[in-house]
Amino acid sequence: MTADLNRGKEPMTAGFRGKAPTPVDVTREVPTPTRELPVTGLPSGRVLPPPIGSAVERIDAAEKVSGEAVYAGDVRLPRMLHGAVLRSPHASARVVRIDTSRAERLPGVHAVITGADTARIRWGAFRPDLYPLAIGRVRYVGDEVAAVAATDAETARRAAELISVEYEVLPAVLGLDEALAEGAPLVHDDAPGNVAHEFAFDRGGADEWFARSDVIVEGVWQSARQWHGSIETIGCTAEWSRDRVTLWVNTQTPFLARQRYATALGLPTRSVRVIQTEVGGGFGGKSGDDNTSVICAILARRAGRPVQLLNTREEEFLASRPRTPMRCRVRLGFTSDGLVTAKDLDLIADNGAYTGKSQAVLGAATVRHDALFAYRAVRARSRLVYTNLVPTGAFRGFGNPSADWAVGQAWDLAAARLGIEMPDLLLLNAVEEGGVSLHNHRIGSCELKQCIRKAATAIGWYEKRSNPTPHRGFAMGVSVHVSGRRSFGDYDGSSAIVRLTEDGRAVVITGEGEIGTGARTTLAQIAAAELGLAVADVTVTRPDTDLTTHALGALASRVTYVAGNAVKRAAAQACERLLAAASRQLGRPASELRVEDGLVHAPPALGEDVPVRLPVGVVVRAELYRPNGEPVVGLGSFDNPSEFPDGVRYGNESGAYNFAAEAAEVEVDPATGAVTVLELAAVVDCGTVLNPPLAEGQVEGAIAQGIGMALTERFDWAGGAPTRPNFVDYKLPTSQIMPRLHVEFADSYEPTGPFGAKGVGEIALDPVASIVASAVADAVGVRVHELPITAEKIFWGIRSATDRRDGDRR
Amino acid sequence: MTILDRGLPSPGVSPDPMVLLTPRSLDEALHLLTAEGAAVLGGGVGHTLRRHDRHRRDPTSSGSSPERDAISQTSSDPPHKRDATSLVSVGSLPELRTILWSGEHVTIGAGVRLGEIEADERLVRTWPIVTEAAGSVATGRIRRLVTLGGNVAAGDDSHDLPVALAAAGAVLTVRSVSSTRTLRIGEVNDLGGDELIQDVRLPIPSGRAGSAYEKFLSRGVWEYACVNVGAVVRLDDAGAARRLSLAVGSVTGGPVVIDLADLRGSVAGGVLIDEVARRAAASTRPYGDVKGSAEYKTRMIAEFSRRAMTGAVRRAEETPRSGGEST
Ligand SMILES: Cc1cc2nc3c(=O)[nH]c(=O)nc-3n(C[C@H](O)[C@H](O)[C@H](O)COP(=O)(O)OP(=O)(O)OC[C@H]3O[C@@H](n4cnc5c(N)ncnc54)[C@H](O)[C@@H]3O)c2cc1C
Repeated sequence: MTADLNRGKEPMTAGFRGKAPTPVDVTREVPTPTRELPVTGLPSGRVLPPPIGSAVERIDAAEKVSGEAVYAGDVRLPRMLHGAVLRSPHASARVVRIDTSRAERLPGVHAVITGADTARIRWGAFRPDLYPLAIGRVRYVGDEVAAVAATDAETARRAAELISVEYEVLPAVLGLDEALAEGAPLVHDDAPGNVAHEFAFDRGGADEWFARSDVIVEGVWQSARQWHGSIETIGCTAEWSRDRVTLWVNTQTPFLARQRYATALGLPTRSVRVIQTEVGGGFGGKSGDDNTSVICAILARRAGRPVQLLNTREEEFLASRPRTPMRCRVRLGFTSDGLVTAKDLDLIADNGAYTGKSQAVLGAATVRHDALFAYRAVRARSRLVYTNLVPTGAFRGFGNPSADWAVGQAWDLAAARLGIEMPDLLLLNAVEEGGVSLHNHRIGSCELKQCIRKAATAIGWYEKRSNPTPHRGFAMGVSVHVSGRRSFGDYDGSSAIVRLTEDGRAVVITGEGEIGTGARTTLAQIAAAELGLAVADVTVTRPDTDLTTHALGALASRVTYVAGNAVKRAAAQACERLLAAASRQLGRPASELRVEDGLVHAPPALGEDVPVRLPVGVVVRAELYRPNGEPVVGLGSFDNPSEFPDGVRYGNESGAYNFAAEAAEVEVDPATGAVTVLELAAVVDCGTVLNPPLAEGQVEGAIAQGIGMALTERFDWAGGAPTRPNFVDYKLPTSQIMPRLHVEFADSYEPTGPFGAKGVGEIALDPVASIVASAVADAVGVRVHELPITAEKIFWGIRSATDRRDGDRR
Repeated sequence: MTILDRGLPSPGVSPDPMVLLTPRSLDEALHLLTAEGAAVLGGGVGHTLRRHDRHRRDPTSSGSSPERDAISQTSSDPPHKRDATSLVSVGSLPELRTILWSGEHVTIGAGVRLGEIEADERLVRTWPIVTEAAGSVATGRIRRLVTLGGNVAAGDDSHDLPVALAAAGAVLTVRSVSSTRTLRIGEVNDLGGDELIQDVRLPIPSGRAGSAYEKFLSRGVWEYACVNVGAVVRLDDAGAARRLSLAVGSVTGGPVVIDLADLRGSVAGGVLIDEVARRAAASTRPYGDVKGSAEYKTRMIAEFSRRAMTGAVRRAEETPRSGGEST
């Protein structure tokens, strides 16, 4: 059949209802010579206020480098005790008996708790299935069984060792196949077949479009658990005052965590106050889906004293919430000239023993990447499966990297089959502004094609591909991410208060917080730009659920876009009120006034020739210090212009989508299979780049984590747990293996974003593993289907290819 | 550390406070070591981690398999590895901090740090295998702490220095209050509780000698070796191998010195090197771990034996022939 999809027939559904893919010249896009663009990526002609787009120094830089910043483990309260947790050594067992008497007798011990001391309530973000401490059953190696509070951490540890637990070991399911097998032991009795969640859809009639395809590619790819590896582990300090508990936690999402912790503690929300400490790395791992804070609170109540509980590194590996591994069967259809027709996805995700965010991760993994291309039909079946392994959850990329790992490689197979260079195939099918995906993702600003062209140029795609070097290979991939995502009810908003102070400064009160990305700095830039103040004169608060505005926190690349808009509106209102006050004070119409450099400016009064300049602080003070005086405060709120997706994930999950194209060149040592990533080009469309070094840092860090996911991060497993849960076995990528990077930003502007900005925190991670695998396949003809891509897998792949060739010769 | 209830009393190192003793002389150190429960402290890297993790063995070591960790018992451990109650710090003793050159030997004190070994220019020229092995350990920060004695005495098959030293034919000088004796690298587990390693002695190579160390990092980032191999050769003027030795680490019972005696006299070329590689793979038993399966490691032992021996031969060939031009 030919490429004319619509011949003699109305299109059944246009994959993208906006612009149909232009039947572009499949002839190679001539790589445009690099235009020197400002790193801010500002569309020419658009003028933005100075702190926007400049390398403003982080407002927390000095306190971090000087060691003054207070992280979770730095909190010190009078009479504070230290906690330790006793964890299950079995992947599945019945708890027969717990004897805590020896632990209780140890001098220095103030509280010993077990499941019997908890509210016996199951909690969880989407599917409540986790007890604070085991009730009757343990379901993974590391499951919390008992806990101790003592005068120091060492005593608490020793006491925990003195608790004796009698287990009846039960059969465990230690993998997806085991979990789905007929008659498999159940991880939870109320989840038949070990399925925690599932959904399916067929949008556009996949079978029909496959039937009309010339080329169909197919494969199965499996991803693996990846840990956040934050430099700081999860930690909490709890203190009770009567029946109200205050938790100092290094969480990314203080308000959402408070809600869940209250549930777990059997308390009304108002009884829990969460204050965010400095966060030493979040990456999704500090989203409040684990038991550490809950146990800490129960210990503190029992002991009648404040308690601090910090995960050890080993606990972080055994019992935090690593990336959800997925097995994806992907089928893609194309016309002979390279237009994509249909996609079929069968996805099985490893939930581990309890459901944190993996249910939402699965949703994102299933639909998100369909916003990239003009598919005519998409069918999917997705299942979240319980196993007796460490529970999984949110990790930078949130499903995208696992799905891209599979779908990206299927696209690479297709390019080879079609005989079309990858950048050309991507350009042929890439979404553009105004596109609407089959799941109703409505694409606003979109510079995906620009990203693809620039990435191809940066890596030297066409030149190098026409002069191949032995054992070197190339690949390109693309990804789409959200700027906020409606997933916790029908609200993905943010609000902020901007208070102008009597000394002419501004305080931004917001509950969004800072997890190390520099979000407070960019929010300060936005407020400063809107107010006409210097960034140094703007303070941004830390979240405190008692004091700041409500916020969903740092997830889904949302803070810049969603909170940025709220802060911008709050600042605008504060500015308006300031000018109204100045107008009254000066007797001049507000329309004649403006704020710049911390001064209210007005043209010379009638008959005068000196323009008026009044410091902001003077206006604020005068507004306050008078009978019935008032503060100058602005309130702003913004809800992501998105839809709450329905049960089958139909709905425009975000108001703005960010895009990236990345290309890599790798080299493989055929004698060992070892891979070196030589160069990697990443071009990101995140709208206006508010602060170039911060944005570049996000892209570089994401690439590093992508390389870790692809190549270095793994454990040796036995009995359902890593044999050495520490950094000796689990290797993060280091500068030793980072490739030469080319990081660029697309010339882009998002009309709904604050000063044109979109999210940038996650996207650059998404395609990395997939392009490393495809580049390896290009280099030595071995395609790895299961993460991580180890030297050994490649070595055996090369060997079996050689053996096959030898066999043919014989 | 994580407290996994094993239903057993904690098998780990007792977290009781320990006494740290800092003698001013070697004699004083030897006296202190005669006390019950006294153990030698070198750089303290291994001790600290063991205490933190309450493992019997260095938890960072890759050589100990989990099974071996689990079954380790105090009684079966050599005396110097039993739970210590006092630590005798020898890492700063002047007697142990020198590298001495005599006519025939170089003697490296057990307190010399790996970072110092790595940077010693004369050692770089005479025994590149040793300086390369020292430079391949972990990171600069660790190498500034770890002592030669501590790295060797740990008796860990994956450690780098023992592999290089075994290939180079090193001899350990071992002291106690009452005795001085020598041990080979492979005999390090015979160290008594009151003994310490004073120094490591190496012959100064003569003639057309070359050595090379190869550490394969299967993930590209610094860590314990997937496989580590050291090779040493001496050639005669005709290009035949007069001395030939190869040691392999990260294998059961390692470092294993491969028997190559019958290959002496063969021309140091491709055929010989292939045979060395084949023997190395055939006579070692690697174990599977996060860095690779045993089967893969066997292939890598062949590959890196080939590379190490090739490197050593190339270096030997670069040294001038004793009898002037002979071609
Ligand atoms: C992050 C990390 C990475 C590492 N990577 C590597 C690596 O790549 N390659 C490698 O080889 N090693 C590596 N090591 C391990 C390190 O080399 C060992 O732990 C080493 O044993 C530490 O030496 P030390 O001087 O600090 O010894 P200590 O901790 O002081 O002692 C170690 C043992 O040796 C005994 N001992 C010390 N000195 C003497 C002596 N003079 N005589 C008799 N007994 C003595 C002690 O009693 C103790 O049993 C790594 C360690 C870490 C923490």
